[in-house]
Amino acid sequence: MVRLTPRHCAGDVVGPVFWLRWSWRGLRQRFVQVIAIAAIIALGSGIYAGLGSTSVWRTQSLNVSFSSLHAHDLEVQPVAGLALPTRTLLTAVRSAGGASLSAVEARLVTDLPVRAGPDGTIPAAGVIVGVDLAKGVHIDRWKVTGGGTIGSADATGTQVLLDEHFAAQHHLPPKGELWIADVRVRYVGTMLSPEYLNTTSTLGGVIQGAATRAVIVAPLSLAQRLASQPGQVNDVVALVRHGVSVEHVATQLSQQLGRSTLPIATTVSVRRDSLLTQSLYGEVVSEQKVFSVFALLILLGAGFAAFNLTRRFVEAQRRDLGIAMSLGVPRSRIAVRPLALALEVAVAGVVLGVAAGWGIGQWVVAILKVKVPLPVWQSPWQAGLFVRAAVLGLAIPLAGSLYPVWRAVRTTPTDALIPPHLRTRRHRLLGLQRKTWMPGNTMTQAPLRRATIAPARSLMTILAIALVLAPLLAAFGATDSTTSTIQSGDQILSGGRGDRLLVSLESYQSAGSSVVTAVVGSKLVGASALGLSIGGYLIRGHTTVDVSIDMVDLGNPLAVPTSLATQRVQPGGIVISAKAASDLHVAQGGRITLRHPVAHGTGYRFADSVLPVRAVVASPYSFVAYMSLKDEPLMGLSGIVNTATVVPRHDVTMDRLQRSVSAIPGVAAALAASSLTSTMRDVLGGISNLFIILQVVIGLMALLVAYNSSKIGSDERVRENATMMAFGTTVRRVVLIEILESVLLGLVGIGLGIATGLLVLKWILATVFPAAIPELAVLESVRTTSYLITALIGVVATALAPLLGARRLRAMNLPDTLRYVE
Amino acid sequence: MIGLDSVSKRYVTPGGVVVALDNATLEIPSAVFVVVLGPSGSGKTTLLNMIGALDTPTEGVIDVAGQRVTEMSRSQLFAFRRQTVTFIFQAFNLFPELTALENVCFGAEIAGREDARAVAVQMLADVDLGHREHHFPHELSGGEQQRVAIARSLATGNPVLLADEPTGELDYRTGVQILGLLRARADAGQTVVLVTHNREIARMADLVVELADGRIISAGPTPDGPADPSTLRW
Ligand SMILES: Nc1ncnc2c1ncn2[C@@H]1O[C@H](COP(=O)(O)OP(=O)(O)OP(=O)(O)O)[C@@H](O)[C@H]1O
Ligand SMILES: [Mg+2]
Repeated sequence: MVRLTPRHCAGDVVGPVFWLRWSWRGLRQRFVQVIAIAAIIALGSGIYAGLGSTSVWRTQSLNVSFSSLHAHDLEVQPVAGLALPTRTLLTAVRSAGGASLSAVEARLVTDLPVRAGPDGTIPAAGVIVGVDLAKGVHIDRWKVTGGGTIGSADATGTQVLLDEHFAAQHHLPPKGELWIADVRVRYVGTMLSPEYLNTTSTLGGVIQGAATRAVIVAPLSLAQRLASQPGQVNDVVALVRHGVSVEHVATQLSQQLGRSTLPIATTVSVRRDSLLTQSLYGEVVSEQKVFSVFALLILLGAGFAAFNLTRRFVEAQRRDLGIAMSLGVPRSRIAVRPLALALEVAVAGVVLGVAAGWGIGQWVVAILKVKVPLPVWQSPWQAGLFVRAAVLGLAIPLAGSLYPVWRAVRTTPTDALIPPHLRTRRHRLLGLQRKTWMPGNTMTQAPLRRATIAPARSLMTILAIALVLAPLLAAFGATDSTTSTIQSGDQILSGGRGDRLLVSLESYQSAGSSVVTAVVGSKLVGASALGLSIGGYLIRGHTTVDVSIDMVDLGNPLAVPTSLATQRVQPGGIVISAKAASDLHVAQGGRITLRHPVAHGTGYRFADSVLPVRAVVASPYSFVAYMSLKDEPLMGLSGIVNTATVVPRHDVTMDRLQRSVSAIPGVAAALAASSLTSTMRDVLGGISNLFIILQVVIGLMALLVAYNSSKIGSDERVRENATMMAFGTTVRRVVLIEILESVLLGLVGIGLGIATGLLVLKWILATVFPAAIPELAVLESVRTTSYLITALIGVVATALAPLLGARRLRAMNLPDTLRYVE
Repeated sequence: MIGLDSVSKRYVTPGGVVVALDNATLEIPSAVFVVVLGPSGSGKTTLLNMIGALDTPTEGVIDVAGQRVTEMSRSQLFAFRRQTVTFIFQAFNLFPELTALENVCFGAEIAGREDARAVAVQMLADVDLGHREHHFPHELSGGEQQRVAIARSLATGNPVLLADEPTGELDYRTGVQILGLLRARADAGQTVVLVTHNREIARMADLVVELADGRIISAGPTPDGPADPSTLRW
């Protein structure tokens, strides 16, 4: 223990050493509380730094992943997935690109049904990437994540590599067997390819998620055999020489190829500009927006709580301020002790904040690594964010401690001497309180009186609780809303009636072709509906919405939602989703421009048609749209289909039908509608997982805030509690009064927090989410359990502190506490 | 009524051992007015705290109203404070959130009196604060606060009344009035132990105990019998 010996008093009584010693003595007494307040700052700034870094980390990791695995710059593809002899295509590209290209490789990319897992029980839409292992793969290399790899020795073999996304979704081992179009192959490892980092994609008109899409890297010869296209390729990837403009080369290449002698037209695309790449980076930015909103909200709550607590902490020493003022101590000296206290809180806050930031950051990265697996993950320390958080961590306690000093030195010493929890003596409420009748006796009234004696102070406590609980409810609400939206979307995807098998064909087929006949004519099929799935854009004013149009028989409940099938929708128009209707401000009966492909020679061109909106389906997904098959002429087509929806005959299982249809040559994928419901979950999964971090951190913070405010409250009340006990009030009774007071304020705080949380949620759903996931209309929905958990955390947090204080009360030294003359 | 047998209280502080009370033995019958005299720091408050079960002695036994205070359990101690003793603190210790009347009410209620509010109104009137019922402690003068504290203790009606310098803040006239109230309590059968360093007040006591340096240096009845409070002069 540090004691003041006469030596210190003998010299300069108000010297700095004296004041520092005084402050130091205070710190030792208040150590736990200093740490508890600092912990709030730490959590706030930690979450700010940890959640604030995700876009930097993910962008950097994406960049490094692309460059280290030599992701292609350019891709040349014959239209409509048509294939050409390897040498023909390669030579054409090489000669068209000339010296601008540093590397060129040809591949065969085909969609084929895949079954994986034990006995092939997991069906998937396969993307088979056949690569020339004999020459070695230098472009779009893969990162092995489990098992081994394949090399030149496997060029003519049947060993393949399986996509990590798919393997992880189904917990597949790093080595095993799978069936591609009913041919058994061995996969010897799992990998991540820079080309297939998107967890969702459209394939044959059906959206595929990580669970239903299996990317497989295979030797070129195997892929050619499986696709029945020996010696042929349909895809050339190229790297552009350093220092040469990729766009420039792309234009040049496309012009040269147009003039070449190739029998089929080709498209040249720049990877960096592709929709897939853009959406990868876009997702990073939009998800960061959501996190940033929450991080800021939490930081705000933590900042307010820390400011408020430091202020009360300092105010608890108002006697010292008042006495110092009466003795004429200069203001600068008066501020020394509160400042020293604030500095203790600030330093502890920053130190803990760096630790919390690092810990939360690691946690965020751990979740992201699972949710968004990348070939290379980098999560460098974001010094800038930490500095910002640290500055805040320093500033808040300083402001919180100077505020009461500033207020005190502007009043008279007598005013400064009034206990802070009574400082509202001129307040009208006090007049009200002395006249209003309250139920019960002095004992039962005590909690209410304590809570209302100083309204401003109670209000601060209420606000602190509310500000911490608001983001918690908003986070819960955001999770609930997305979950319930996905569920309503599931119902539409999986249809009202039983399960259906969605069949995608490898290419456009006439309705009478052998593939189509084989599918719909199968003995296992009970009923079927053919369709053409085609991409397009809905345009109205300046708004454009991407849609995937299902051209089907609009009266067939197999092909469209039941509610639509019963509406007898006429051809010559379009059916859009409720989300698209609201985005485009159009209703049933309105007119809208559809930009759609029209068959043109060997390729397509886009054309605009103005169509009436025939109906609006209650779908949260903006890309859902239907048209009648009878309207195919609009696209320059007639009797062409690329999808089929079939249901098994009554005595046939879904699995049997799936296996049988998958084996039909020309079928790209055949998946049960119910197996697709996980897809949109994948889209939103990343976000919801990180919400768990928010919930844990906010829960912790709520506990800390409640602990601190209630600890300070009971410190201020120590004499009253001692007096009550001197008159024989039991410890249990005193604790009960404190709990009731605390919970009373807590309940108001919870109510306010929930109300604020709902407002925040509405705002997030109205502004942040539409920007982050434009294709999904997330409808507000908060589960009862979310309200309950929020309220429970609030109640537990407020009631806990008095309970913890019971031990202190029991051990209180009554004579010492009571003797002290105030 | 109150019995102390070889009671000592020692505080161990970094600066050494402080003997606040040294081997005190004392017998106080019921329904008497006792004055404890002694200079500042002589151990008066310590003695009072011990009798009122706010503090436990380092050594010795204490009996109050037939109960052995020094052997009581926690809950017995709390019940003892509610029903047997009552305090008038040197530092008042009023509840800042309660009005004068409510503070007094608290005393009556905690002791389990049925007509608590009526008792409280009466007690407040007895200390001449009927017109201050709805004032909060910080709106009262020091002497007024002290009188509220006295009314609060009187309102309990408990058999042992322990008063620590109850007239310290009061002028002569008010002081005499308060002392008259306490005297009346003793006459009505309560045991009143009053701590003061004012020798004049000791004149109205049935019994005077004198402390110095934590030791009881004398204890006995006032030579000429208790004087009437109105005859005191200070
Ligand atoms: N907690 C403690 N630690 C150390 N010493 C203490 C403690 N409480 C009291 N003392 C000492 O015990 C002695 C007796 O204190 P007590 O309060 O009983 O005095 P008092 O006679 O009531 O004085 P006054 O008339 O000034 O109120 C004093 O010397 C005091 O310093
Ligand atoms: Mg004393």
